[in-house]
Amino acid sequence: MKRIRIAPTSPSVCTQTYMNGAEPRKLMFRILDHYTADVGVDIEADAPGGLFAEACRALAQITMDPDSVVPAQSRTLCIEKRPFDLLLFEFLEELIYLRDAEQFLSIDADCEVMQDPSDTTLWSLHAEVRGEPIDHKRHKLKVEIKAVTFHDFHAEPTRARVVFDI
Amino acid sequence: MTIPPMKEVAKNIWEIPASFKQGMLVPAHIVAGKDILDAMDDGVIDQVTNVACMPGILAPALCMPDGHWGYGFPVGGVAAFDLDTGVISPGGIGFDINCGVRLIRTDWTEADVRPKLRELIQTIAKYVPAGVGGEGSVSLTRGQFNDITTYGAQWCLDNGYASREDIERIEEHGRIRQADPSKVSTRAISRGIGQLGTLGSGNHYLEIQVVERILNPEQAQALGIQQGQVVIMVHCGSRGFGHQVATDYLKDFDLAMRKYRIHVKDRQLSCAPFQSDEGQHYYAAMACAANMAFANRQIITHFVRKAFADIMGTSKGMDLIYDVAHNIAKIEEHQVPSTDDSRPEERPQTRKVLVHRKGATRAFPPGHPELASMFKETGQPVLIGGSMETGSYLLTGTADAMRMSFGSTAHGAGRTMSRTRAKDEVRGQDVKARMEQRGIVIKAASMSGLAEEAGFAYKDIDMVIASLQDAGISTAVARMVPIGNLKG
Repeated sequence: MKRIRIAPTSPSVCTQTYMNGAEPRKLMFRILDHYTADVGVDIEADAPGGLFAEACRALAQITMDPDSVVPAQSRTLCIEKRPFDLLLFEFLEELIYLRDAEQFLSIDADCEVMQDPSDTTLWSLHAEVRGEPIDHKRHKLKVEIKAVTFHDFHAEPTRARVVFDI
Repeated sequence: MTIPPMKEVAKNIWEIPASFKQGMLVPAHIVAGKDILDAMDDGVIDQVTNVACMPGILAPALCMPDGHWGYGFPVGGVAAFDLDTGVISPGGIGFDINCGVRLIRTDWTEADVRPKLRELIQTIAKYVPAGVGGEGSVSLTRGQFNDITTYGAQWCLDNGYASREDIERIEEHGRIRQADPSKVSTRAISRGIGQLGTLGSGNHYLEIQVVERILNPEQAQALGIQQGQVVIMVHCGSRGFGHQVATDYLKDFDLAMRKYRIHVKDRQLSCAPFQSDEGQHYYAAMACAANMAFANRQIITHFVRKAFADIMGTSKGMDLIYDVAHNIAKIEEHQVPSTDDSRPEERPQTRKVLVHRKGATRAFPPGHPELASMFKETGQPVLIGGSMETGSYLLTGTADAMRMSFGSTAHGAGRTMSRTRAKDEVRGQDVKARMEQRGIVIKAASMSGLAEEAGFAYKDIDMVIASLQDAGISTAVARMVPIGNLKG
């Protein structure tokens, strides 16, 4: 497998980003307001790893106040040999799964996204996702995302559009 | 987008001809009064005409007056497919499989309940978790969960959570028999096993309402409803279990479409031939999720009765009026035109078809063989949940619905505004204060969620109901207004 790029976000930067009272970082995603019942998001980054990390942050921003969650634990996610768009789709789906099946809230991630040298249409992901288990007393939760949809879905290495079902 | 030519082919039934878009196999019909039609978002036109292009669709593709942009199908969408040549599509059902509504009657009036309303809402909230990450109070083994997905609300009867009469008052008697848990992934079970008896979030709610107005006294009496009576409405679905079933098969169908050389106008309309292995497996898995949702609403009913018994001293008289699914696909008998092109004059035939309803409710007429005997005279009760600030309706199905909309009607008020815009317009705290001022006690899991569900983000429910009545596809029986709301 050929390594394309490691996500530009280091753990220390991420910690600063979401600690209460810290200087907010510039968001590389934009929540779209033209989907009547659901929520769309446009995401940009300078590389595939950053795109995936930014998608994780966008999901967190929609569903909770990320400042109320401490990146105290991590989960490792590996998804292999998928078309690029399906890799992003399954990564986001996995974050939703973690919330329901393990009660784990993901707020940030370090992501390595690699292109298969023998078949360049396929990509793989190794992600360290940070967050913590749900604590209803402390966490400010907004809304539950049910699923990632294929509607208007588009993903390429530095930009993507995703619509979530609320 | 281009606004299509529309012709009113019957009162409040607007036809978009099959010539409007390349690939349309049948015309599309929008059920709406003129005001509702004029205000409908463009996405509905685009999406309902996309649905009209799907293989094996039977005329017409429909959208109800509460319709709005959805993913794949519009919300409010109804489409029937030929069992042999047609497809099944998760995008025509929604991720929240068997999201639905149930209505429970009581013997109390507002005067009886008002002094204890806050306590009631708090107690219900203690028993029925709402919001993100809520875990239910029924703990289950995987074997028990499989039984729930197989037997639905009938599992609740066998395990002390339902009465025999409850089961009679649920669509499909609370169980779709084609369910096969072997067609469900372990991931889906892991997502849903801890969520039985929970509301979820988004537009899901549990509401204590008062019957404000009786619109059809004869039917109201037959259904046990009278003016001033307190009733409880529950709106939720199959939780993470159903969401994962839909997600799993959406991805499978994305690949299957290449195998079957099916092309759709929107990737979210991914589908497979109903008779293919993929189609049959999804139908069996979807039925499992539908059964879980029937059981979920029944378990919630059990705990609502318990909460009322705690606070009001009894749960006597808290009978189920009805429970409807509004995100589902079902095999039903309908009259469809002959498939023999050489004999267009031939009378319509009654045959089995696969009806998709996404944000639409079944509305079977009086005398329909699928209905329990208690509904033979009234027709099937239909429950339309409005926004939490306005009102909701009890309707019944009609023979015209069978003739014009595959036995279907609307499911709610229908959004007019995105969640993001609603939050820009109002704060959750202000919505809460406004509702409390009007005497509506509210307990919300999330203030931003409350802002998203503000009344102004929805269509006028009275206009939606008028559209249905004038089209003849439902009969309005009673209008209810909220006095207490537990919001997910």
